[in-house]
Amino acid sequence: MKITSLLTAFGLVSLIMQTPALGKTPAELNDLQIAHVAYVADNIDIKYAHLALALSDNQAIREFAQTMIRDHTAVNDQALALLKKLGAQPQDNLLSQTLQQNSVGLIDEMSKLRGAAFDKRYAENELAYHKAVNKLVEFSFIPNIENAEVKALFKAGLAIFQVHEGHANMMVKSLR
Amino acid sequence: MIDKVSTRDAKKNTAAMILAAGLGLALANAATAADVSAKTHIIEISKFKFTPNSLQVRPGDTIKWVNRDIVPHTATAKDKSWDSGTIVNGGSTRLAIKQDLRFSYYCRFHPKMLGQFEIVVQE
Repeated sequence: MKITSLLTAFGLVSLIMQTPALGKTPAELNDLQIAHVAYVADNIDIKYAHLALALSDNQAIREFAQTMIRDHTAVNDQALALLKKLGAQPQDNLLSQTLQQNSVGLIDEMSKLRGAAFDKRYAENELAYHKAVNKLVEFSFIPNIENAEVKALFKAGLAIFQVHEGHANMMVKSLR
Repeated sequence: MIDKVSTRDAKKNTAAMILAAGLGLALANAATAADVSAKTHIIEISKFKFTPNSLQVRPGDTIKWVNRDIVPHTATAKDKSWDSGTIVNGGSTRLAIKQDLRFSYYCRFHPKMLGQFEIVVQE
């Protein structure tokens, strides 16, 4: 169903099918693996934002990027504090690694762009990225998280990232 | 114009206010009617909303915004004539109401978050 299109968005389908030994679907990850994916996803968006601050002169893009750094850092701080309270460590996994690998390619692609071309690509990527991650969090992660406090944090995080998605959508439209 | 108060500072201020209350009864008795009627209005920031989203205030009143969200927010006049600065999770900020304040505001970090207050002049 929709999960398939999500995996496609992350370039994960072929990877999972080719590596059955590692091939857990997002819905099968445990809480600590899910926490790791979320932490990595937050940090990837922070990296995109730093790239935008380095390359863009567009005021709206720069303000959005600063908000991404501020908000994703705040969410990650809360997540780390919760894991510390629970005495747990996030667990690296195939999905985290794939997200990380894909982001390297995107950063490489975007870093070659300048001016309006960069702004448009950055805004479109932010919209697509938040859409994909939000669906992953809403339909795969939240229903499967077992710990109540971790689930509550993910619900709060989803509300934040849905606002980001709306903001990114507004930005994309303004750049057309 | 904006008086930023962290939670820790707020505790210190409460202790100072209790001390002042013990020492300053004579001052309290001398307070004017206007001072007595001045109110502090609390606006909670939660789930990317200002609640209440709209309220009536009088010159001399104070508005206090309290941020319950994980992420930082601001309360910023639409015409930029006043700005709370960053209000972090659990933090708060106060604004003393003056008659000529602009009353429509938003969060600079999340521009779809809007709020307003109506300034009612005392008779």
